[in-house]
This record gives sequence, structure tokens and C-alpha cells, in this order.
Amino acid sequence: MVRLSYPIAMEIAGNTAMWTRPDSGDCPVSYPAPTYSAVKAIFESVAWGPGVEIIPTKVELCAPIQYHSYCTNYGGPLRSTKSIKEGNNYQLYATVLIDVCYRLYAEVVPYKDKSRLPESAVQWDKKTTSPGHAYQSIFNRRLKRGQCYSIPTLGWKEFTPSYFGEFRDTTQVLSDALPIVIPSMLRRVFAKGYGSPVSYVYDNDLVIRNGVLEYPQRSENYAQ
Amino acid sequence: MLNELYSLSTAMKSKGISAKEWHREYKSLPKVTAKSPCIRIWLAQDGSICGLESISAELAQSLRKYGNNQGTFPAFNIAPLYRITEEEQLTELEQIEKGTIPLDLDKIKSWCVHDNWKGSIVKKVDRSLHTIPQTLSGLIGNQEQPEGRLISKLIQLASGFRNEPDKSFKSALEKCVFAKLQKQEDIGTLLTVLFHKGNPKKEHNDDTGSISVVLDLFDWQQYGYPVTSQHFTEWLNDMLLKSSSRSASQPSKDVERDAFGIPFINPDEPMPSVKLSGFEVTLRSMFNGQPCQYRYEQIDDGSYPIAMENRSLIKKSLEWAADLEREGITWRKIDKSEIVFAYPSKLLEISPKFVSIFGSGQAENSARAEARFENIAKDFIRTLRGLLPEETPKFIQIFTIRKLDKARSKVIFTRNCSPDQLIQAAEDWQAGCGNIPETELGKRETPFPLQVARIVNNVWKQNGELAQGQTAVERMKYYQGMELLLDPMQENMIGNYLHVTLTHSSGLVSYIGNWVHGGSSCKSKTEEKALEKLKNEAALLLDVLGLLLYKRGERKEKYMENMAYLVGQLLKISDELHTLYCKVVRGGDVPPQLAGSALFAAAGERPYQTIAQLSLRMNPYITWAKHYRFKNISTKDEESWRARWYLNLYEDAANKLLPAMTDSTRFNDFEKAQLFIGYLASFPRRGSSVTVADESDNDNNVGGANYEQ
Repeated sequence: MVRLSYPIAMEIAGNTAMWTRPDSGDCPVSYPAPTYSAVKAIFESVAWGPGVEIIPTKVELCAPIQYHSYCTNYGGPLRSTKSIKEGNNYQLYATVLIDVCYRLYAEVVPYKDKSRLPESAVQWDKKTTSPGHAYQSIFNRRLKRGQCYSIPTLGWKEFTPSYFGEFRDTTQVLSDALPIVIPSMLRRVFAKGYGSPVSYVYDNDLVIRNGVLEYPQRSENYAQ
Repeated sequence: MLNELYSLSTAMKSKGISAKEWHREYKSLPKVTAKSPCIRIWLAQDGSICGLESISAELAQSLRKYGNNQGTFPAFNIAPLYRITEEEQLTELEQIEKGTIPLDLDKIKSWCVHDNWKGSIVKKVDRSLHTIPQTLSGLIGNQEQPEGRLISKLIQLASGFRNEPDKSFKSALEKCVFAKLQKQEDIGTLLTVLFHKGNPKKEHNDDTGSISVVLDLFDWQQYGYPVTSQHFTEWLNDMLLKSSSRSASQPSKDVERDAFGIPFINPDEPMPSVKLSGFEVTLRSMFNGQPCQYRYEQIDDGSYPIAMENRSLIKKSLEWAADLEREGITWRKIDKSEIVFAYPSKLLEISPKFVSIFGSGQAENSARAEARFENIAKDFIRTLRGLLPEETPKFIQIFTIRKLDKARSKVIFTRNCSPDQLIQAAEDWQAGCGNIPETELGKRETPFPLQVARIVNNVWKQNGELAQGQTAVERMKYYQGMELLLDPMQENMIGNYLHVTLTHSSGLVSYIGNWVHGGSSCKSKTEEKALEKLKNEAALLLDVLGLLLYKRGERKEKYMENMAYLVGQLLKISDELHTLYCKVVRGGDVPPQLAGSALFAAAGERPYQTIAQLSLRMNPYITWAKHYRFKNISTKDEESWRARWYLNLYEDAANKLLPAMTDSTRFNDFEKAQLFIGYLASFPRRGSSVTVADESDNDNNVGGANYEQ
């Protein structure tokens, strides 16, 4: 029997992380835990499966939440004309997380909408009887070897992980952590999948309980 | 900030609290003070200016102006008409204002030389008189009500001013000022409008001054209310809000629901801003003027879908929370550009002072006894524990906003914690600050979390003065004191704070220790006050050190037996013995630096070598004390039992130190903190080997047989 979903999991830790809260605008502040789309992208950076969809299910916090003020000087071409003329940098003020560690969980299901997939992906999909199972095996193999498609990041590109891989025995979930209420959390920016236009989707009234954030299940992710 | 405020808006909704909503571009007037008045300009039916008068602060507070940075209406800012910089003229002008010399109109006219209305001011006033009123008129439309006719008339009269010599607003204003000066009416207000007292060292363009003015119709009686009235202000606000809701009625095609789950109708306008105490914050901004702020090709409010209804609710809730009435309950200013907010998820009839637990305000500081952390925490805990289960809020939202520059503000600290957690944190805080033995520094006072940053950042010189450079030291931010209260701290963070505190405060501990141990008397009241202040600072410092040690799990019962603490005590004993010697042998001539105090800094770095050096230094005093203790002298401060007591303490400490200390012993920051505490802590009242009372004991071995030297 072909199963519809296959579980995958990994651990990621690092010195700095930024899960940007869109409601914080030009001075971004981080959510205490990675967003749904960030978790999805971390899994995809280890192995990107053309015919499958990764659906993050939950994240476990394994290090206390510590916020930190972070400032960068941007001197690139996307500054205001006045700043460029006067040779001024644009200072980006952010509130990031430091010393983070998470255990990420997801399910792998066959891709629902294959119309926008590139040709190579369609070919791969045709040859695979159970894309979810194939992806799970490939993912676990790569994770064990420390191999990745692109280096996973903790939100922003400059925040590279100090560790990513299988669960470590020394890591402990913060099961005694007090609840954290998140009234609105960004779920996805490109909600309609690969190659779709910007379409923000938010999850509401989430709570990180006993160090675990569970992403609400939405029917649109699963193949019918 | 929106996530933090959303829970408040929900709580307000469920409690039925509806705060007044103001249109996002209808903003309050600047605060009126004696130095910055708000002047009402009366316009006559013929378009001329027929009167000028200063309005009360109370009235100004109830008024608003519509517009943006480019211009506003019916109130706006102008510059005084002329600028004077000459010393003689300035002095004479002040005397005229005070009424000590009479007004000489010809002389005043002769001073009107340097036109103060530069190009930018003329343009801004022009926009405020023409462009903005036209926009306003377009928004509210033709209203048949008296208020509608009143504003239409005012807009019509304002638009009559032209940028031509005799028809300009400036010339009309000047004409009115001189006509009134002729009649010697309200000279102070008129001279404020006429002259800006300039600084000759500044460029004229950078030094034009500013006055807030508001236009009104002189013949307002036929319309019922003047423009400068609360009634009219509220009417205009209602009209503006109606116009906003009319313009935002098209549902968005791309986004069905907003970030909080309600149907999204794109209002297509920037997020509203709210005036807080001292600065204004925009609820959220991604400004299109900075291309690097684009995300996924989205900018401004397009980058975050939030429906009009939620914008309005969140704005109202911030305005409600930041209301002056709720200072100390839901908000508190912690710096000139930083405010802390705290509120429960369920609003209560009698709300505990949520933010007071973090720090006391200026008003409360004046009544120090009530403003102590202990009292506030007790009150707060009692109120929270007294709530019925159905009234108890699920969580308390705490966050801090800091204004970073003209346009941007940032949430720098955000937490939500349960009432139980907050109660526990407050109790732990008190226990942590009490994690030090008794001292001779006066009554103990627990510092507030927001006070900790100041204590940590203060850099003390060796002479007990604060080292105040041009830029304030900010190794610890104010909000980090709240982190210290609420969060279980990592050891490296505690170590960091401890390292900074010890580096900054070594001078204070050494100085105050030397003074207190030396028993110096103050020569004047000022010196006495300064000493009291220093003692208070040192006591607060010890509280912080105790707290940091407590956070690491080091309790006073345990660390008071540690080597570092004992080294501190040994230095204190040396100081006291040295002082006694000076009082008895040198007739009270105590040197400016005592034996222990001189080695305090070195003891933190190389304890073994310091103790060796101290032994050599103390040798003559110990020898003297061994003889003196038998003299049976009871003169005040020269009692011979003191010599015995100090010798016993010295021996006791030395006996404990010798086996533990080696040549390679070095203190880490946690041990240095114990050294600091040990140096300022009182002696144990009655130790097992201390025999203070038995003065007849003639055993010559006591205080001299073992390792005291």
C-alpha cells in the first residue's frame, strides 16, 4: 500500500536566528520560533524534492529564547537616492534571537499541483511510484552525511547554523517552558506553491506550549 | 508591535471599552507652555486678520490639525516675522515683555530688518493655507450643518491669501500686529509673533524659531461653535473617519483575509501613528523611499495585510494604553525615547500597576517610601492573588518601544508571561537582591529592574566620583533589567553583566570601603549628603551583585564561606585595625588610604600575593594590637576589646584562607563579586572563634598564634 505522507525530522542550531515578524515593519523583530515557511525551506535546503510537498508539522524549542539587538549597515544600491548621494549607509535595526536550537518535524506528501513544475521534475515524478517515500529516504541519507542542496539558514542568509543534522542525544526540549502566545504568525508568502505570486497566509492564535509549536493543519496542503 | 497590541484590543473589545478614535491625519497640537504658546488668529469676513491671542494649554489639548509633514490646517506652524540677534535689542525686548520699560513702536519698527520667513517657511505656510484645506474640503464634501459651513468659510478665507506683497498672509499678520501694538494690547503675544530671539552664532536658515498658530473665524457665533473648540474638533474628526470608511470599500483580490483572520479590504493608506509621551510612533512602516525595504516587491501597507477595522482597533488600544491617566499602570517612560507597556489579557475593574513593578516614576520617586520595590511588589502580588479565577488574566503582555530615529521605532523587548510567573519573578527578585549579608551602608533598598542598567553602567573613579564622558556608557540597556527579572538567565549573560559591573564599580567599592572603615567624619552637610548618596549607590550595587550571584545559584550562606569573600573580609579587618591604631597611637590622624583599601584592586587579580603583601603591611599593627588588647581601655572608639576582636577575626579568616589559597589562585568574576561583597559586609556578629565579650582573657596566643601574618 502506498502511504500518503512520510515523516521527516531534523535538528538545527546556531548563534543567531531571525524569523521575521512582518508586523514589525522596518525594524524587524523575530518570532520566538521559525515560521512554517522557514521550516519548509530548511528541509528543502537539505533535499529539494520536485514531486513532493513538505508540510511542517511542529517545531520543538531546545534552547531558551533570548532576544538580542542587531544592527547592520547596508551600503548597496537599494538605498534612497539621498543616502547614495551623501554616501550614507542604511542602518537596519533588528531584534534577533541568539543561541537557538530547534527540532523540526514535517510530513512529505505528493505534490498536489504539478502544472507549474519544471520538466525535469515532471519526469522524475513520472518515474517514481511513491515520491514521498523516495524523498524521505533521500532526505535521511543526505542528513546523515551532512549533505545539503544549499546551506540551510536560520532566517536570514548571514545566520548560518552551527549544527544541522539528525537529533543529538544531548539536546533537550524545553518542556518546562512557559506558554508563549502568538496572535498572528506568518505561514506562507507564496501560498499557492512553486512559482505562484505573493499571497500572504497567516495562522492565528498559536501558542508555544511546553516548548512545542504545532503548525495548524490546512487541507489545501494535502493531495485529495 | 501589532501582535503585542492585538491582545489588548481583544481585551478591550470583550470588556466593552471603546476608546475615542481619531483620523490618522488629524493630529493633536504641540504641548502649550509659557515658552511655546499656541496663538489663535482671528480672520474677519473681509479676509483680513483682526485679532491675535494666546490660547490656554487646556484648549490647545482638545484641538487637532489635519495634514502631514508638508502642511496642516486649521492649525500650523509659522516662524516669527523678524529675527533679531543684537545683544542690546534682545535685552530691551525682554524688558518690554516684562513691562519694565514702555513700548516704543518706532524703535520696534526699526528692528524689523531681518525677514525671518525664508523660502521653505513661505512654501509650507502656502501649502497649509491652500493645498491642505482643499484636500480637507474634498474629503468632507459639502456639509449643510453649521460646522460644515464654518469650515468652508474658513477655507475660503484662508485661500484668499496670495503670495503678493499686500495680499500675503505675512503682511496681514504684520499689519495686525502693529495695529494691536499701537493700542498696547497683549504685548507679550504680539512680540512673540513679531520677533525671534536669534542666536548670532547660528546660520539664519537654521535658527528661525517656530510658533504654533490656529486659524479661526471671528464671527463664529452664527455657526454655534468656533473652530477652536472641542465640539468642532470632534465633528471634523467624525467627518474624516466617515470619508475614510467610504474610500476603503473594495475587497482585495490577492489577499482574502488579513493577518488576524478577518476579511481584508485594502485601505490603501499608510498605517496610522500614535503620539506617545515624548515621541510619535507609526504602528508599522515599510517606506517606499528606501528601496531596500521592499520585500517580495511589496512595500508600504501592501507588505502586510491588515484590515481597516484592525488598524483602527490597534491604534485605539495603543492610544488607550498610552493615555496619561494610565501612566504607571499600563505604561512608563524609561528613557527619553523609550517606553515600556504592560497590560493583562483580561482587563480588570481595578488594575494592578503592571509597569510599576519594573520601575518607579518621577512622581513616585518623590515619595520614596511608597516607591520602593518591596512595597510595590507586595501591593501588586496582593492584588493579583486576590482576583477571582474568572477575573485572572491568562497572561500579561510586556513590551518596550524605542524611537530609533525620526521615522523608525522598534520593539526591543517583548514577553508574555502568566500572572503566576510575574509573581514568582518578583519574589525571586527580592530574594536575589537580599542575597548579601548585612552591611554598614544604611537601610537596604531593593532596586527596580529598570534601575539595574543605571547601576551597571555607572563608571566610578577611585575618588568616588562618576566618570561622566561625552557619551553615556550603555553596556546594559534598560530593558535588560526586565530580562533579568523575567527570564532564566544563561550563565554567560550573568557573567557578562557581572564583568561589566565589577569593572565599572571597583572605584566606588574601594572608595566607600576606605571611608566607612576609616570612620571619617564629614566636615560639612554637603559632604554628609554626598556620602549618604554614595552609600546608597554602593548598597544598590551590592544588591545587584547579590542578585547576579543568586541567578547563578550561589547563596550567601554558601559563598560567605568562600575564599574570595574571606579575602574581602580580611581587607576590611585590616582597614578597621589600621584605623584603630591611628586613632589610638596617632591621635586620630587616619591616613587617606587604609592598608586593606590600598590592596583592594590587587586582591581581585592576584589574591595570594596580595595577602602576602598585606601580612607585611599589617605586621606592626598586629604587634601593637597584641599588646593593646590587654590595656582595658574603654574610651569611645578606642576600646581595647576592639583590638582583640579584630585580631580574632583576622586569625579566623587567615586560618580558613591559608589551606585553600595557592600561588596560582586567581578569582573569576563570580569570586570577584564575592570579594566586593566581603569587603563591604559587616563582620559576623558572633563567630565560633570570636570572643568579644571576654576582655579578661589573657591568652597571648589568641590572634597571634596561627596564620594571621
